Amino acid sequence: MEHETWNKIKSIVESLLFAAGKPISYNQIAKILKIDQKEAEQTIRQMQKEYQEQKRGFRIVSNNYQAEMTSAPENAEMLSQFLNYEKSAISQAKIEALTVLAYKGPLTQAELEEIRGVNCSVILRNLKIDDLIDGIKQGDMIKYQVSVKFLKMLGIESVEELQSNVNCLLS
Amino acid sequence: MNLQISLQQFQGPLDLLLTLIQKQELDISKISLSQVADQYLKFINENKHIPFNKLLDFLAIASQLIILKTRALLPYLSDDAEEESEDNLIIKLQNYQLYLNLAKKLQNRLENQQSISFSRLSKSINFRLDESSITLPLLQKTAARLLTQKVKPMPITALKKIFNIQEKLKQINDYLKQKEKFLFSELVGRTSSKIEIIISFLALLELSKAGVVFISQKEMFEEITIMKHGT
Repeated sequence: MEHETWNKIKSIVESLLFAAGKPISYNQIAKILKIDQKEAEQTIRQMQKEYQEQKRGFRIVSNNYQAEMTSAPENAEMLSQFLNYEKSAISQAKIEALTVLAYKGPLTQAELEEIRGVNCSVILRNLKIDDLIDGIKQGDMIKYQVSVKFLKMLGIESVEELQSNVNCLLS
Repeated sequence: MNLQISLQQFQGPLDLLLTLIQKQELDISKISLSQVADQYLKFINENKHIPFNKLLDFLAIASQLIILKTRALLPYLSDDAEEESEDNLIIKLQNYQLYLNLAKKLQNRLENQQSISFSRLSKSINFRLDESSITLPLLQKTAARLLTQKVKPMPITALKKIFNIQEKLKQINDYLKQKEKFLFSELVGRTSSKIEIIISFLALLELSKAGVVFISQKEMFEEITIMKHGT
């Protein structure tokens, strides 16, 4: 891609993320910019990297499906004070399901059940209500992935950041 | 060894199995699995009130443990397919253990909140009620307004008896005891109430989800055949 067009795209995506104030999907970004989803994904990855390298006060959190502009995780302490933030507790069962999805997702319900050895309909429904996971339609199947909200709670900017150090351990 | 444990403590059969193995300070292996098999089965026996959907998960693993133990006692009964499923169980358990450790790390991270990202429009801002704005005169005024408001009486209508899904489930279950295979039209044959047909259908879907029945239909709008699971 031409350097100038590339910069233009980045600028628009940046404006979009800023104005949205909530997660927006790659699909949506692609539609607005009339580019394909892969390009939208690449743009966001590139921007994530730039913000991190430049140690900006705002960052992009993404679960490979949606992206949201957020504050830098390392500034959490000051922001927590400013925003009066109180952490919310997540139950053991939820954490367990979220962990599997975070490290191995996106997974179908059946794949998640295979790993956990238990039926997961209820837990998936509850996690969906809490907005901690996203269900992504792929053909006839729904695959589940941890949400941007969950990554934000952890102060992690992408699922790869989590997955990179343990992937080799999981067969 | 006496194990004081109850189902509530466990996320599922793998969790239970892992706990049993760890209590004896064993590694995850075929030998340790056959050692804890009896305790696992005893646990299921003693917990009569495991809900049906959970019970299936526990029994699936129980059957694998029984095979494993049998083969440990009678090694000449070996079979490649079974050996593979044993290896699968071991891998599953090892992975599960890994996930549990990762879950602990995530939990720690969540609790220690060293790092959190906030949205631009943070929903986590806590709006606090400003108590100073609530004064006695304000409450009196509000109460007076509410009490003098004319309220239309609610119309009284007799409610029709609606079939409840629980009743319907029981009815179908009773039906299944007599017949192992039947048509949906047989089930609702005697009624013309639309709501009852819908409730019957919902009950059927519920039973199918729980794995009690199989439902099949050749074409759209064709007869629906209901079969008891396992026939």
